[in-house]
Amino acid sequence: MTRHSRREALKTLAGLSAYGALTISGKATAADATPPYKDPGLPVAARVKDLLGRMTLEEKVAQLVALWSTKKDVLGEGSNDFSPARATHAYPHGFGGVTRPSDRKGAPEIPGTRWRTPADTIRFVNDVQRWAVHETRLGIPVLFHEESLHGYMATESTMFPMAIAMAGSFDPELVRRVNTVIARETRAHGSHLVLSPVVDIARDARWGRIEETFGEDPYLCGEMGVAAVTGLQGEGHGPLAPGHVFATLKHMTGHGEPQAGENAGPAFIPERELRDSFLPPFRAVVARTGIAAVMPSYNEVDGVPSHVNRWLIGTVLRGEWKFDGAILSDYNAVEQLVTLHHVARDDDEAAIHALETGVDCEFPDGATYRGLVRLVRAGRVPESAVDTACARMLALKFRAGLFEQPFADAAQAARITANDEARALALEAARRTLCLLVNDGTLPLAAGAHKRVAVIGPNAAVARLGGYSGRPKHAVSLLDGVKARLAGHAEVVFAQGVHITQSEEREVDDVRLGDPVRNRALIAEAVEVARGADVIVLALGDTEQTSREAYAGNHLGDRANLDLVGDQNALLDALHAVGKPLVVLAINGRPPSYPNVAAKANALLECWYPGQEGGTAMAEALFGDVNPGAKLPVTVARDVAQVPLYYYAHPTPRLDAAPGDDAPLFPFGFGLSYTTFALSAPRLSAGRIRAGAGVVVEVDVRNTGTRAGDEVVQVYVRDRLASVVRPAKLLRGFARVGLAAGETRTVRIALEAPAFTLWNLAMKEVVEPGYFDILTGPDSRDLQAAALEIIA
Amino acid sequence: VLHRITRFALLAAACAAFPADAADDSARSAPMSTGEITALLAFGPPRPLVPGTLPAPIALAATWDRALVHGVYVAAGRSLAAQKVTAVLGPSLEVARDPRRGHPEASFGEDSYLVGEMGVAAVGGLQSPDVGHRILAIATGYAGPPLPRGGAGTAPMSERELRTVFLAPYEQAIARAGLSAVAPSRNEMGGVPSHANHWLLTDVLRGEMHFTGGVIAEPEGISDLVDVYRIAANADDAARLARAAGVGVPTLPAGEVVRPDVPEALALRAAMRAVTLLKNDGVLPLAGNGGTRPRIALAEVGSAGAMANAIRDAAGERAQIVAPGEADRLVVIFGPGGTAEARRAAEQAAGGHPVIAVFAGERPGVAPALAQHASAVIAAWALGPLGPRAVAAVLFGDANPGGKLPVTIARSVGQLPRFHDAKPSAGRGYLFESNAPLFPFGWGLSYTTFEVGPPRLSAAQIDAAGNLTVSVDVRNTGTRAGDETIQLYVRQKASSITRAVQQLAGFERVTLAPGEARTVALPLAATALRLWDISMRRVVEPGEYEVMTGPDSAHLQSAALTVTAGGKP
Repeated sequence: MTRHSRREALKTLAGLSAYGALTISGKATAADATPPYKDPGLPVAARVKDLLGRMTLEEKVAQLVALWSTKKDVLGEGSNDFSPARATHAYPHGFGGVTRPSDRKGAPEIPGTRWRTPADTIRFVNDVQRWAVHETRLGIPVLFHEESLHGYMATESTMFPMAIAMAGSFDPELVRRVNTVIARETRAHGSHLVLSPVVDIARDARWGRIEETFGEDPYLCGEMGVAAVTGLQGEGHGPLAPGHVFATLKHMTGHGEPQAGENAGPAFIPERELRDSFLPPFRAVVARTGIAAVMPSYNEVDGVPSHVNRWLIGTVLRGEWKFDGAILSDYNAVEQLVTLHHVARDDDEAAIHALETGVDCEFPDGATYRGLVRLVRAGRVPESAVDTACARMLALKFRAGLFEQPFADAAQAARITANDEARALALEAARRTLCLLVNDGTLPLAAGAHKRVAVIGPNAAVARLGGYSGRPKHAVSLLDGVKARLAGHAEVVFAQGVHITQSEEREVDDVRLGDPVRNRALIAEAVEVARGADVIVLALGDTEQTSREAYAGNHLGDRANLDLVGDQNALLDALHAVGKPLVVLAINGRPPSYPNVAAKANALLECWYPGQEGGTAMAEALFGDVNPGAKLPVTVARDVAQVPLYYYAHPTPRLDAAPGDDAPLFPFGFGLSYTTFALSAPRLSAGRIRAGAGVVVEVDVRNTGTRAGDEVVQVYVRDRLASVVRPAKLLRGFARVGLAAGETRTVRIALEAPAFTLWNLAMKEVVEPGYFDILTGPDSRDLQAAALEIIA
Repeated sequence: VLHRITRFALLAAACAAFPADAADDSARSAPMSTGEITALLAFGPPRPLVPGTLPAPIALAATWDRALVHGVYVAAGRSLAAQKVTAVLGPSLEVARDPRRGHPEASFGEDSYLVGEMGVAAVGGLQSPDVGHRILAIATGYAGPPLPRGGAGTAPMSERELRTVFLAPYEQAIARAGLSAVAPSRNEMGGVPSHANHWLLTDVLRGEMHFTGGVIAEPEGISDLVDVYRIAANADDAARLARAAGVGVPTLPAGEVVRPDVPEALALRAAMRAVTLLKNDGVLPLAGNGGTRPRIALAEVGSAGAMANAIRDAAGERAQIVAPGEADRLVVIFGPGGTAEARRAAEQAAGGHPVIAVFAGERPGVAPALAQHASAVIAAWALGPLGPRAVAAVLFGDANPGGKLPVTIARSVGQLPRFHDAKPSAGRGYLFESNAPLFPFGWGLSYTTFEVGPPRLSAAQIDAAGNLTVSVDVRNTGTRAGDETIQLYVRQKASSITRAVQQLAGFERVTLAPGEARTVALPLAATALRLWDISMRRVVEPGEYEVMTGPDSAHLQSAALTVTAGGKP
């Protein structure tokens, strides 16, 4: 930032009438004519160096910790308001960050009230910043962070479709645009850092966090990760532009294939498989964006928990990939080195190991890093390790422009949050994430063709948003959407069908399935409603309770069974027996391993958690206003006995296998449309290339049906013969295209050298000359091939 | 040169290399050279080692009886030698941590130490001088997770876990039983099939384990490199890759199966010692409980072989075998191939009377609901032709069961893999169902009761070269003679690398008369505490350990052990 832009920033500040008294020129400035670190004209590295040189050990360590439940020490007695006096008393050397300013953690509990209002959040943030800037010795502003997986996770913000749904759009530009809005809404509320995106490949559907991921494919996760980070941060490595926030890439690595599907379980993944499958999304983001932060995973890989994995963080991330941002601990993960992994005897050892590994900041509370002052003084860890970590955290603050403008403006936040543009984008995203899995021609329905439409099911009348959701100002359920769509055309009747769980409170620890006796009565009611209707629209799936992050032993979220939970199959069977057209909408974050539904429904639309405008989009899809065009970002198992099941598993001999035993219910990349497409065989720009060169793949796609629709052309590469075992195919490119009825287009997808590399026996990344099959098609199963020869 | 040597000369050479009167350990532990192996194989391809009249390996592991297993394999070896068999593909030393992989009945279970102990007993038995002529035992499954069965997904395997769990049994059989040959597993790890894995077959096997025996390809192991793994263009390429990796003897077609035939008394004894009583509310034994003569109905689910007849025979005058409607006890025999419908029918036939569930087959497929409502549950494994007699003897109390589970029985297929020596971060739990094992590893009941005391350590502190004795008092507090197996587990409280929550490090099965007390002394060397550190060196770390003992893996008492710095293991 130039001096000129600093003046602009000050002018902006002066315009904040609510905080008219604010000024950025603190005591330090008065005493010392603009110390270099306060000079926005200097490079970040110079400012960091200058500031670090002025800091005491206590001040440096303070920059490595954040406040969460410890917020109570800086709030007024019995109050929700920040108290500068108490802050100065509790934190005479300041503190580096605040965890989730939008929640009331640390404030007196009010049952049912988890959140601050937006205005209250902004007041809190500004109060903290004013204190930090004016009342701490060096005036270092505070870094606030929030969750923002699929929307700024607070109240009144816009909630978009869940990450796994966004992946199914196969539309990185959409992911970028959505994350731009998420960034804008988060930043407006005073936070400059978010803990997203998740680029873990997910290979076990028992794992409740699967909904937070972009699915199972390394390439797709990488493309979506790049798009999300670009949306959140903007382009490049430079200063954070207005309206953007720093992203945190998580969780590195091995999180997505925990033993037995239980969250944070160990992963026994060899190095080549890490490099082939788990690391590429992280690597792509580090290489192609200015990603600010990376979060190690909770789990261990081959005996080494990620927060002390020097190979992962030191050799690979910082060494090979030259990552220069900050490493932020996952919540309580440093303490878990003692309590879960038993690789440290106490918090002190844990802090030393994590810091020396390269974890720069401890979230959410800095429980162990608070001891670092003592540990440095005792000679147990060098001060230089603290300096390194502190420098990285300060660099974030300088890049974020916090020293120039740390405050938020409530009026502006209200103006830009969940505005018409954001809502329209949420609706567009929902439309583009619906995935049609089964259709015998029943869909689309014609509005008015059925005089009475029964909307039934536990997910019909509630807008399910999934985990890591805030409370948007409004959200549209399927029932709302269908009623609105059919107003004046047909009668809509509703039945609950079953209750999946006994409560709808998202955060409840102890999840109880709906009462079977009550559910039997509800099923009988639903059957009556269905009998009187002309078509049945049934909304099934999961809830925010039945599949979620199992963050503790008393807050479980993983499942040993992948089929519909509770009495939902009984409801489906009863409605199927009624004999009316039956359309099922799956609303969930876990892949629909619902063989009974797939066999009995006339149509099955996978909607995932479609965001706050989902009800409108689902209704539009039911009645053909929108033509579903998303594809599955995961392989859907028929049976839990098949997991881990993913399309690019290495080939293996099998014992006692009948043909098709390992076939999924739905393959990766699969999704239907209301129209039909014809895809040509692939044409290559060259049949023979040199190692290191690329090739362009062309596919003609023709809409052979009578409506406009989208197809996702997918390009897979198969190495026919290699020095190490390769999967039967790997996704290396895709393009979603919209075609009018009868329209033909030629899709060109460029494959660059990395599409052909492998990690050889010497663990070098190479392209091995030889023959490759370039496979293209509308999903991972129905593919046509062209041969490519790569020569040395 | 082989064609110039007569078969007789070869046999003579082989026998000369192994004098029949050599019974000392040093002769026993001398493995064959590749030349000898080639010579022996000239007599015919290796025969798959099948149980024959014996209980399957999983059942033998359930005996937790090293001497018995050794004796059984000596007898098997004699029988094979008498049938002119010179080489067998087996035993498998694979570690069966997931019943969706491998042939569960052919393994010695889920625990690396137990597989190692049983492997040493089996290999030592087969290759024993007592066998008569030399038999080449080819330990199969080297190494890593066995192949998936049916539609199960593939399982990745990392180096430290591979070393800690899967390699250890082979190392034991090489070091302690003079294992003559290994056959690589047909899986791949990290993109490298075992048949082409130089690191596995040469660097580790020869370099680290000092193996001097033969590496013999599995019948399809080399063709897999072309047909499945696509790392070789053709058969010649595949053979070259395999040879370069360390396969010494190329693919041989598996010979016809030959069934070892062992003395009936031994086979019956082995079967009786393998029967594992998983649950008993007092309904068993069926006879001898107060003189009433029970009316027993029998039901079969799946193919249960001769079990029903054996039970009829054993009943004699002690019980009436009646139709289900007239019975006051129902014995349901679950064999391979039983359908869910048959199960339900059998359970309904009980009509409210006690159900005794007997599971014959590779792994007891007990469902949680059955475990809950059955009065008694017996794991009868794959016990061989004498199994039915053994089970009948147990049912009527002629034998007192003393087997212990060599595997964890999970509650459902969706909870796999589940094994006792898991990392502390495993097993957080599932919604809607407990993830606790239905029956834990090492579990098994008796018709008598035992009181097992806490562990007493001969030293509370040792160094890395040290060892100690762990003493456990065990008393038969019931009124019948019976067997208890005292199991010893260790755990490091905090370590540089994560470690299992418990690791089996010793066991001893003892027989006690009613009222008899005995002190079981289990040796524990510091080497049993080793881990593969961050630099992949095997070290004993100084620090605090727990030494845990008890009658199964879920009911343990603990004593503290400190390992001090110093001492070279």
